[in-house]
Amino acid sequence: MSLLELQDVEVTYQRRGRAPVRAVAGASLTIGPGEIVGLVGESGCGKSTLARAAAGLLAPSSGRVLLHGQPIAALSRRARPAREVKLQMVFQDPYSSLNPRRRIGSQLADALRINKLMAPELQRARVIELLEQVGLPTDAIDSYPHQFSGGQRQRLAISRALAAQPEVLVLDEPLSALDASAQAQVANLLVNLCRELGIAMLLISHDLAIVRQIADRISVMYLGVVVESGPTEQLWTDPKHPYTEALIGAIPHADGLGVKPRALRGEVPDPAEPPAGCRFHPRCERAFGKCSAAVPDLISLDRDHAAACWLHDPEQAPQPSPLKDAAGDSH
Amino acid sequence: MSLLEVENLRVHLPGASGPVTVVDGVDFAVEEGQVFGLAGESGSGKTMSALAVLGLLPRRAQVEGRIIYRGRDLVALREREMRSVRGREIAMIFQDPMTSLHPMLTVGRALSEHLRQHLKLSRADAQRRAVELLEEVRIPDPEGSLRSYPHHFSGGMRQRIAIAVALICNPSIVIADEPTTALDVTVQAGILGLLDRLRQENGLSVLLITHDLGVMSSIADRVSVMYAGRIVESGATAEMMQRPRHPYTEGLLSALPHPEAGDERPLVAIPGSPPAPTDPPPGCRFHPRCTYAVDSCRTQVPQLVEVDARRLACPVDPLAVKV
Amino acid sequence: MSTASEAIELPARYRRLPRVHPALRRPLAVTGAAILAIWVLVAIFAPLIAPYGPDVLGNSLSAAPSSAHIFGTDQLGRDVFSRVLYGARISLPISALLVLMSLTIGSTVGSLAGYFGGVVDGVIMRIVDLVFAFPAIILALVVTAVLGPSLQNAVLALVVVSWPTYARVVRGLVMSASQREYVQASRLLGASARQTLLRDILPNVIGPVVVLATLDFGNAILLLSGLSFLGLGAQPPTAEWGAMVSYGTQYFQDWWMSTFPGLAIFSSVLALNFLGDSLRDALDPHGSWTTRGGRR
Repeated sequence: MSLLELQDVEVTYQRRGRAPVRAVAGASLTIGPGEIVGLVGESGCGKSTLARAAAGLLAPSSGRVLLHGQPIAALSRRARPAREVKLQMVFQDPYSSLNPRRRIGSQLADALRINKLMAPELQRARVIELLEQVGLPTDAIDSYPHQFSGGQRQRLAISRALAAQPEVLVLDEPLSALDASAQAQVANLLVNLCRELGIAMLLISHDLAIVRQIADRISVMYLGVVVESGPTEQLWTDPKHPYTEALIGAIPHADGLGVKPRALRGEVPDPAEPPAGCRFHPRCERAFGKCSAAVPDLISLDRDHAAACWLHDPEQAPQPSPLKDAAGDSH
Repeated sequence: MSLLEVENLRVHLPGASGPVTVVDGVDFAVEEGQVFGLAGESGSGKTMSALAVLGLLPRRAQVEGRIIYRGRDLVALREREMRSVRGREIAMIFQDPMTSLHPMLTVGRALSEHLRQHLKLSRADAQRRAVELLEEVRIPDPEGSLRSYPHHFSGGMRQRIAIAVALICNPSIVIADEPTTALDVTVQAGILGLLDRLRQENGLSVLLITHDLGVMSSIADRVSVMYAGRIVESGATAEMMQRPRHPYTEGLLSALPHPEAGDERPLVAIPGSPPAPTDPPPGCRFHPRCTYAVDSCRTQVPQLVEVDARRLACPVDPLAVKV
Repeated sequence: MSTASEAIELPARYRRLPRVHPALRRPLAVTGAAILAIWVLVAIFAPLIAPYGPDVLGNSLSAAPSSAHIFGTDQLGRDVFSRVLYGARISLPISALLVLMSLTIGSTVGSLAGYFGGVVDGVIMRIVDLVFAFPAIILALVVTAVLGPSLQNAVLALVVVSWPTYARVVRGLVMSASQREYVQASRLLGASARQTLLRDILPNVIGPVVVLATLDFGNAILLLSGLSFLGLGAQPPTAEWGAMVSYGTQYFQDWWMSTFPGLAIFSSVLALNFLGDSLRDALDPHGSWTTRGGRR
């Protein structure tokens, strides 16, 4: 059974005097216990909005977020029920996700104190344990956030979430504000936490290359919808959606071969006025008649691997040739 | 002779307790028609080195060393003389394209005002040249774009326009400071392609500053890796990426995901974090984080020496150790 | 080597001394703090310093400054120097009380508006707008005119006109602070909105409010003196600075009667403004001296 499940989640932002924007236009996702699921997409694809909905920070306009099969209510003025505290979130910017005026020890003990997880005299020992768990010196307990580097702060933010003994962590771009060496440290930490503590994670990122290193499964989002999802290596080596393929082709390689990454033509359209049919079709090298006319469903192609693309509809595709042939086009 | 040669550059910034040395004896050269890369993490001094070339450092910064451009030492120039170099001979592109675009001016006005001011073109000529520049950087519908404001464009298009602005005076070098860091990868690829084409078609030299070794690898001819204000290794990009010899270069490459490799290549993090510029360790600045460090690393500052067609500041040379 | 470094190191208790923010070490800040400290000392020790009592008559009337009366005497023969010193015992504590009351009322109302939002916010902010729509001094005049002129009523009138400033500032700060990610993180950890208000939001609001209160302190002294000047505040024979200035202006050629209490107002207000501006720089997060490293 899945631990966290997003069912047809839609999030619509109302804008004063302008058309509303469907930032997330019906996305489904499941995360099993102890599993790391990557959610990848470029700016404006709605991945951060989906992350906030998944963590319960905002209410979906339609669809449901289920934890253990029970719907999650979005935050209200009241305290969250203990059951939902098992769902935690880590934010992108470690500079703004820690309170600058409170000592680390006090912030890490928040979850223990608020949820009365243990007697006050035991809390300090637990905080020290949490600091060790994320590889920080234990004297950090009496320091303030500004005394730490970006990578260290992100580890502090992670350990604050760990204090709540979460079953699921939603991580919104936890690596993108960090330097390469700090990025690797935090990425490895996340994998270890998942393997050792069995914490399931939804990892939101724009960086497919690093998500590939961490995630067990990946979903790719484009303009508010999931266009492809599958096990990491399968999706990486045999992408079924042209957008996934474009994303992979655009990643620069630090291999010294001087291979130029491939650009994707055109621009991300305004989410308030998405193209008809497949949302990717105006930029797709392989679009054909049907693509601009009808919306493709996310259909299962191979056990866990699913894509929303008319090329994989046996009755519709004009040429059954594998996608890879189109990869050579550059511009 | 190289187009731009930086020799023993030192930059000191005023700090709370005395000056802080953020660039400490940096040498590099940019050749004609080449993309030269300065790589390093934040705080390594790469941006400060570039700003020193353009004379754009904060007023109270102290610059030592020589920056030779076409036989002239830019460090010795007065601000007024520097203005004839900056923008005309050496232009700059920033991470945030809005740095060089005025939000209240249409793209057409921004371009033609620069053109008329710097090149003394007539209104009609400036207009024509502006369209040419936008075509050059592949802005769709250049004529229509002249009437649009910067906020009408996406991040990638804005960066293209910023490049067009940089090209106004036909500079021989463009300094690009993290030009693609704020962009999506699919858009980044386009900007890298554009810089590469300008280099090949117009013979433009580029001083590329980025923390992203993937970006570096795809367009730089030569690269220097900086750590805590010093260059630790320099050489041809292909050589450096395939056979890094400085432990820091090696560590940085191992910490990156390698899309080309199989899935069983874990990220190897460099332990610890870079030193604060106010309190650099003695000897080799990387030694506290280095797995190869020997006693002399803790006390002696390693010099950049020629080793097999590259320059290396490490007496241990892990490649030699491994072999 | 080791002995040398030990010799230089200060004993631990010195090193632990709280470091003072550079913005508070600037000459302006130090001058402000010094002037203010002098006035506070004067207020406390007025009976010891003053050569005469504030209401002691019997000296020569309207005497120009001399060695016996360095600030001269007024037309009732009271020593102006002594009255200025005693004036500090009225103007400073009453203005402080005034600021404290406005701050308490304004901050409470402002946090409620920022925290609840919606209708509560709408109603409170319309009242605030209403108060702001009147010129402060005229509104205070109306209130004192209704309640009757006295120092106590002048304070009440000024509280009525000055709390909305605090309400507006605190509301904005509470609203923006509650959108911060650390507040959201805290909510996700199970804290109720009320708990985050006390633990995470208000501590981040206090700094700017303290700055505002310091700057407003000077303003309060001015307003209070102003009302007294107009005859609506402190009543004779109270030695209040504003009242003394007002009184002195009736005897224009005897300049010392109004000049010296005027200088007292001027110096204390100026000191508070110096201090407030420096505090603002010190608490400005963008110029934070403690931030190590920085963002990319």
